[in-house]
Amino acid sequence: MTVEKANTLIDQIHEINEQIKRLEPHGYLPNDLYDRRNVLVDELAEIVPIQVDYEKSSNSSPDIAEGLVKITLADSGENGGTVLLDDKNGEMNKFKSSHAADGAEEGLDPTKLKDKNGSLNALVHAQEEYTDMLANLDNMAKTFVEEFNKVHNDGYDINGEQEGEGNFFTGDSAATIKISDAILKDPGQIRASAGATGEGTKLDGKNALALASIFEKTIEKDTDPGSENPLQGTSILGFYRSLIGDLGVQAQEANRMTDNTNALRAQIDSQRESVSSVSLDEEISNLVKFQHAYNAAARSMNAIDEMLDKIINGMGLVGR
Amino acid sequence: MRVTQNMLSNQMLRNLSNNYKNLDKYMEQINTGKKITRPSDDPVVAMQGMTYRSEVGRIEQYQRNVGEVQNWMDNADTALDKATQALQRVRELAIKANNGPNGEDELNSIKEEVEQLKSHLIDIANTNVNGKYIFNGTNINTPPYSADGTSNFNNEDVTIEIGNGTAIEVNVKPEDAFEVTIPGEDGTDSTINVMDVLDNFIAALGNEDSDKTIDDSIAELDLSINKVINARADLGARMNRVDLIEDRLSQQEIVATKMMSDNEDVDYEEVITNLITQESILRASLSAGSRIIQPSLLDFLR
Repeated sequence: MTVEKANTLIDQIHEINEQIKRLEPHGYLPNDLYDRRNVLVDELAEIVPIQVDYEKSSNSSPDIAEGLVKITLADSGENGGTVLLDDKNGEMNKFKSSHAADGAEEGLDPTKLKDKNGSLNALVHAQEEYTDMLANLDNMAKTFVEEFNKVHNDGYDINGEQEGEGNFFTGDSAATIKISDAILKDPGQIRASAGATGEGTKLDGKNALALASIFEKTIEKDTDPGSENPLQGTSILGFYRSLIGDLGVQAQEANRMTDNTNALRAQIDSQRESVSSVSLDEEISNLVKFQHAYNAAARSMNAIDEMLDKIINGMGLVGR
Repeated sequence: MRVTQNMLSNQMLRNLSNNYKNLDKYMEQINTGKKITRPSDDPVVAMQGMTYRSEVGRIEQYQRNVGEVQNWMDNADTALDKATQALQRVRELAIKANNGPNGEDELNSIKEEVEQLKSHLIDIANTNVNGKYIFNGTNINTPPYSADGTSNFNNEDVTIEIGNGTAIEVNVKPEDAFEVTIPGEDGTDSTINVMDVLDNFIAALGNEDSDKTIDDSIAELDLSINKVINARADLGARMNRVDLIEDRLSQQEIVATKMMSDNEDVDYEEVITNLITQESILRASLSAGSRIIQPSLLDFLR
């Protein structure tokens, strides 16, 4: 969505550039077009960090003409310095939409933006955070399923047997975790007891106690260096707690940064406004001033009129 | 600095929206009664809240477990009380049978009563609470005695967790209540079932040729009664401990709930004061805004 908006803006700026290119060489100053172009450039600057340069549209253009706008991507990443729009040399580069499959569409890859400026970049970074968070939740669910099933498998069901599959949970991610169908169908298959021997021990419920403690039990470090389960050395509860803590801290930081940036933006905005915006009082006092000047000018014309009248009609009556 | 109308109105809008944001925060706190509604409001409170909540939840579960423990123990206690009474009655009958001349009819009626008492004792041993046989270890689905008095004992501990790592035995094992160790004449002890003790007595009553006399039966009955009383004493000691634990749990619940509440619940006086302060700030900024934004030089020129 944001990518499409940026691309449309580049297109629109390009069109205005083209119109300006046709008008300026004839000595015109298309101020309306300059204004519209400035608004569009502002909008584009909100999405991606850009650098704006002006180039003369032709040799015959007036000296005070703004000329054509050249937009360069101001980013320290891989695509930094790429020209987004240069109408003098007929160059234009757009962003690649994330919906399109890789390589299906030509364009700059938004995920390669590096500096943390612009709304497009914010979206890209936010998506990374989401993915991390979801991956962590999936890891937690997966580890929980594995640990729970491990303990559950060691137990014995209500008949003192280890019949069937023995997995309490199925699934390997937060979205797919569920109680196995076999157990939903026959709750007697829940392996709650610790021993098969003897008629009585099958009902002792000792494995249920072991199952209850899994949530707070420390997950053993895996000796296999290939597996990098982030839950190693912590308990599922501990991991979840720190996950929520991290999430809270990140969101808090994001909120605080928003506040700070907004304050900064308001400051700069008000400086800009103090130069560029219209003060009603100023305009009205100017209006009054010029009205008075107009009145004064009219009055002085009156005076001259009277003087001429005197000279022409009132003087030299002697010869009549 | 040159100040324009645009700047004034932008500034006012920004401040107004900040005011509404604070107002919204306080409203939310009052409506929910909690200091935070999402972790980002205060990550530390959120994380500690998770710990405290699971602590409170755990204590509440232990309290429910204590209820179950008391259920087991109270029932076992009453059952053992009745068992003692029944055995005492058998002993009285034994003494009566042993003393003085008794006719055939009297001995027969004593025998009848003892047989009834035996059935009664089997009933007591087969006490079933909420579908569980409480005197048969972990084998709660099977009675310890079948109807004819043959025993099928399970002597496992039934343990219930009523504290962090504290599991307590809640059952009276059948071997502790219904099995008697009889010192033999040749110095070797033999362990027999209470029902066998009663059977021996019935046999001694009806048959002069029985290898046990009524005197032997009285001794065996004394041992049986002692056994049941000992089991009950042991049970009583455990019940006292459970009472102590229950007391401690309710204390812990108060402390844990208080910690949880201190951590995450709002101080209503404070929030309401904040809300009212915020409300007057909002009113002030609205009225100041309406005075400053409206007039321009135009209003004063004629």
